Amino acid sequence: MILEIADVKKSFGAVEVLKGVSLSVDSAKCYGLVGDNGAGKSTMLKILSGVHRPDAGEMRLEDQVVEFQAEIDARLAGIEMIFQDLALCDDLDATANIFLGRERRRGSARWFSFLDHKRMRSESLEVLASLGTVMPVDRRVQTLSGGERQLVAVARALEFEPKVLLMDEPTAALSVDKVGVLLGLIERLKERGVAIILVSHRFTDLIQVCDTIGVLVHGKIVDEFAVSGQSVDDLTTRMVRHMSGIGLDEPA
Amino acid sequence: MSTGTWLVNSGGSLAKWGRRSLNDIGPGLLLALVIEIGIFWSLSPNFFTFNNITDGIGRGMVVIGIMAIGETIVIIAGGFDLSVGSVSAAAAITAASLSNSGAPFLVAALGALALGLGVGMINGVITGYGRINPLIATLGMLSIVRGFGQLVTGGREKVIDSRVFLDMGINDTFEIPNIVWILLGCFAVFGFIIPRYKFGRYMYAIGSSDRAARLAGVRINRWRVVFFGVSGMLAGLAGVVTSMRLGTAAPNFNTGSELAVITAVILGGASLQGGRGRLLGTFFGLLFIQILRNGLVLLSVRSFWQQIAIGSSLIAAVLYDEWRRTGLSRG
Repeated sequence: MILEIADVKKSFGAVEVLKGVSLSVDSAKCYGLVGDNGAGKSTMLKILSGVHRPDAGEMRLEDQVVEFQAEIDARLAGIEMIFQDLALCDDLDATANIFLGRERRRGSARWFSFLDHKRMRSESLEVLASLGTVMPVDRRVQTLSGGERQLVAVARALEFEPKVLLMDEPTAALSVDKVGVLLGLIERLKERGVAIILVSHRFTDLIQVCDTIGVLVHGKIVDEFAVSGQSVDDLTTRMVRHMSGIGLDEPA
Repeated sequence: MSTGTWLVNSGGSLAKWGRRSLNDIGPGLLLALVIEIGIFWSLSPNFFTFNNITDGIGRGMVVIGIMAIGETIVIIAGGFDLSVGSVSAAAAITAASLSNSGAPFLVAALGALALGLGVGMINGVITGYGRINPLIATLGMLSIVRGFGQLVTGGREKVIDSRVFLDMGINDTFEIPNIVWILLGCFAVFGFIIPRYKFGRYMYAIGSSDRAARLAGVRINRWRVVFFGVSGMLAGLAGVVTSMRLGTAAPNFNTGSELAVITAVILGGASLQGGRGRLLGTFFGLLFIQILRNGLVLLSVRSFWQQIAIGSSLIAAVLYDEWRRTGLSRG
């Protein structure tokens, strides 16, 4: 297993959001996390990506125990996160967003080396091309479409060849045809060997791309099962059984 | 890449840079500038003369111009610095004290810059790590620093014994006043740094979305200290230049200059929401303000009108910016 989480707990004030969560994901596999609003899905991702620190429990990346003090630690260790709102800087262009925080520079003089605009531009075109897209990388991302912005966020995660990719509701803001594109993208990332943890409200998406699905209820994983060999109906029933408040036909 | 391209922007061609700059600054300011020049040129025979351009306009815009460069950086980074005028006065007093106690000009000037840097960094720590609204933090600092200046001097003007300050302040090099060279040098230095270094990249990123920048691994609070520090340092330099022009240092130097400084930056197209703005825009905004001040003086308009005119341009600039971005509210 490339990423293993054992008995992670997290409280905010008096509220215990995670009550001992354990899960693991292997390279080239996708782990789907479902649950009601407030079940702790986002908190789990934020712990994995270094935004929050767990109160208890252990995280192992490639059999090494890891502790992240900040977001950058997780990224340097090879865990990338795509946030639900994408967390892009609207006034920067696509290239600048892709390399934000890890700019390519000319030379190695720590303080004095220039940003390498040319290299960053060509590399961002390259990584976007590998996602099967061409877009104006010099334009403010504010002026891009929702789908293009999503691709910028994915490209930013991929540029640094992550081992684990965390995605929080990546299809929530997309139109139906773009959802298909994104799910195809997840398949391609798996082929590249990336381990993915996908949080989503959309059962159909999860069933399509995930290998394992875990159901999170009130801060605990109450059910976990393999996707292959089961019918869509069975899987859906199994997910719904543990949850309240969301149904099949509720829009994501 | 041609030499010309390298000079202005390592990121693209000269034409593209021009188009982008024009797009960011907006045609409104340039049009207003042309109209303004046209009016004063036709009304005053002394307006378009070499002397008025280098002395009346050039010399007159140095102090607010240097402060406006720092203000531009802070505003693009999503902050605000009201303390620049006070810091410049405190820096002038520092320079005068150092000089009068025997320090050579350069040491006195560096001491003033260091004071500005220090105060600016404190502003950055308070707004960044302390999470205090920059408007409040720097408003407090405005008062604190001004108060200390008055305390140290007893509220009186300090004459600088050394003639070096005044000599350098009033003399020209290649027929351009020395202090105008200082202003142009500051624009050149930061015009060079901003497109080429992380400094500029993070300035825009943090102003655009500090959360996104933080999640991307940018140490946003550390950079806030840098940006406010630079603004303070430039305010310190503006204080040195003020004392070079007058040969003295007084605790009431540049009182109220924040108004002209911020107006120049906003006129230049920097967004109060952060993330947007250009140093070149600030340069044109500065020209607009200074030509307005100078033109009104040439026409012997009572000086009170200056304040009214600058305040009006500030409001007009913000209205124009709002209208250009979103259209006027019909609610």
